[in-house]
Amino acid sequence: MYFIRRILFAIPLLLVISALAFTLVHLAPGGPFDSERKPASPIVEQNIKAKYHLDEPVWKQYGRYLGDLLHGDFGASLKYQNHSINDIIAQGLPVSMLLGGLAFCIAIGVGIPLGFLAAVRRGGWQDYGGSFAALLAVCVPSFVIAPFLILIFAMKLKWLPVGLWITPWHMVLPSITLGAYFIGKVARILREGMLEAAQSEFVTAARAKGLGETALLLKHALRIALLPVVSYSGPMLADLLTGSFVVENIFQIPGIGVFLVNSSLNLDYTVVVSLSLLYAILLIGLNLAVDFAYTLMDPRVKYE
Amino acid sequence: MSELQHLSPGQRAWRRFQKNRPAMLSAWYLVLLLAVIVGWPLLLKICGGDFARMHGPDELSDAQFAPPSFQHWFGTDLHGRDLFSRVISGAQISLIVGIFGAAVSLVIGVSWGAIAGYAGGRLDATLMRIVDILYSLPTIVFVIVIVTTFGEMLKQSEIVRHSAAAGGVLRIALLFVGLGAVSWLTMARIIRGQVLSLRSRAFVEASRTLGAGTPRILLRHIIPNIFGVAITYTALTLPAIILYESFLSFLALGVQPPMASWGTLIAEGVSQINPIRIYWWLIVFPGAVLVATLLALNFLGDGLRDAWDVKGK
Repeated sequence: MYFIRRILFAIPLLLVISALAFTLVHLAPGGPFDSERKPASPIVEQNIKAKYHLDEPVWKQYGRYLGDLLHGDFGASLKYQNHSINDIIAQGLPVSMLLGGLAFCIAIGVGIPLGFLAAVRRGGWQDYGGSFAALLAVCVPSFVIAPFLILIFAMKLKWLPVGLWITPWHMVLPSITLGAYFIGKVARILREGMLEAAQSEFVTAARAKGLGETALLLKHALRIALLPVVSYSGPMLADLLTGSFVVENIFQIPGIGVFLVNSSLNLDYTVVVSLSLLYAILLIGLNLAVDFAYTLMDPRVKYE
Repeated sequence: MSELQHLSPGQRAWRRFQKNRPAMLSAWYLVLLLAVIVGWPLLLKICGGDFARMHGPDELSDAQFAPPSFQHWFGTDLHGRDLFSRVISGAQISLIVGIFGAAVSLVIGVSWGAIAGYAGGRLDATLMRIVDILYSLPTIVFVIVIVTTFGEMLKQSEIVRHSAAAGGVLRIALLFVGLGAVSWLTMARIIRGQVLSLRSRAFVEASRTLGAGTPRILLRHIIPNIFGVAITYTALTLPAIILYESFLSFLALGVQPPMASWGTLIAEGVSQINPIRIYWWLIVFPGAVLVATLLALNFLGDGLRDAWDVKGK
């Protein structure tokens, strides 16, 4: 029931967001054609504008845009003449999703063991080393990690390609770059969760009943400590998608992040609005999915 | 312990902070960085002559891509400019955007949270629902949209057409307002929680019984008590905003040339990556200073949090 209400609530929200983005981009003076050569005559310019309905009032353009959206059509790009926005999304989204998915696996696969180890060996060198590594991963931005990985693994050792997105080998460096921050984040969250779980009463009770330390940590403490990681994974997936701009830019990967940044620079407003809307839809969906998974994992949580 | 008892909460927090080695070290690093940022341009001005011509952040020279040496500690870039000076002037811009952006988020977050927590009821529910909604939206995308649209408006406006310097300043203002405007959500949640619990405490009730009005309660009792929390979360917001700024500048959406920030410097370094010659200093030095600053700010924020004993997210 709660989830149905939230899904229904998302519709007016998306309307408001798209209207906001549409007006904002429309308020900006200068259009996508300003950087081009002046057309031969004002009539030609008129015709170009008429083709894209730029001569109509803003509300009418927005209405037209919404109507097209309902038909599953994001409209045409003003800059890339031969592509519709649907083409751009169809090309770019799978690439960005794959990149984000790989980085997600790396973040979970490395972050959880790291945080677990740090918590289990609390106060030991594993804890200090692991915690510092996690903090470092959080503080080193992707555009600093990427050039180092490229210089070492692509330029010096020549093990991996410098850029592009063709074979699985091309995916290694970008995924690591994108995942690094989240390794640190996941490790820190899990460590905190483990330390908190270790102090809780059910762990003491289990220990009092004579349960071995390994089973205690893995079966009881870890299960509770994973919950904050699950609730973080919604925002994390969102950040992985929107955080891939830099990585796509450096490694020249044809994802939607590159399109958003370029369209922003080109004032290609239909693309900017459509892609922000797409991001909003994805994020709202992801958050819903995560909250749903949370209720499945933790029976104590009930949404009214 | 008995010695601690007659100290104010602020003094006790300061004692705890001093015992935190990484936080103190970070504080000293930041003081040093600030000193260099202020002192280096002054030194250039005082010495003048050849020294300034060699080291000025905007002075071109024939020494392109000189590796680090006694003369150019961090080497030089594509146009023969001294990289050390460029990193220092980049630090200036990045820190300005960070500090003002954090201030914007502090003002919005504290007022939003305080109003929600103090008013309670339906207003509280509405305000916090808005925070929840904003939490689930792609903030960086919005910053990109805001910076692009308003940036273009600024570019076409009268003031900027008359002077390029005003354009640069306005661009920076736009950046920190935009970044601050999306970074206040956690602050609002924390402050609301604090105000909510303070509101029902005995000393506030007592004050109200004695006839104190809302403004007096807010100013005398609520605000002083959330001061530590607000400062702590501002300190933790600062590195996040600096990171966002460098991220946008790296993508050429933030600070525009000829101004430099850490993000644009690293972007210049990345654009020079080629298989023939490796100009590592173009990336290593701006990157190292950026990472060191972010680490220091994080240690500082964590130290403040422990010192004030702030619980919560």
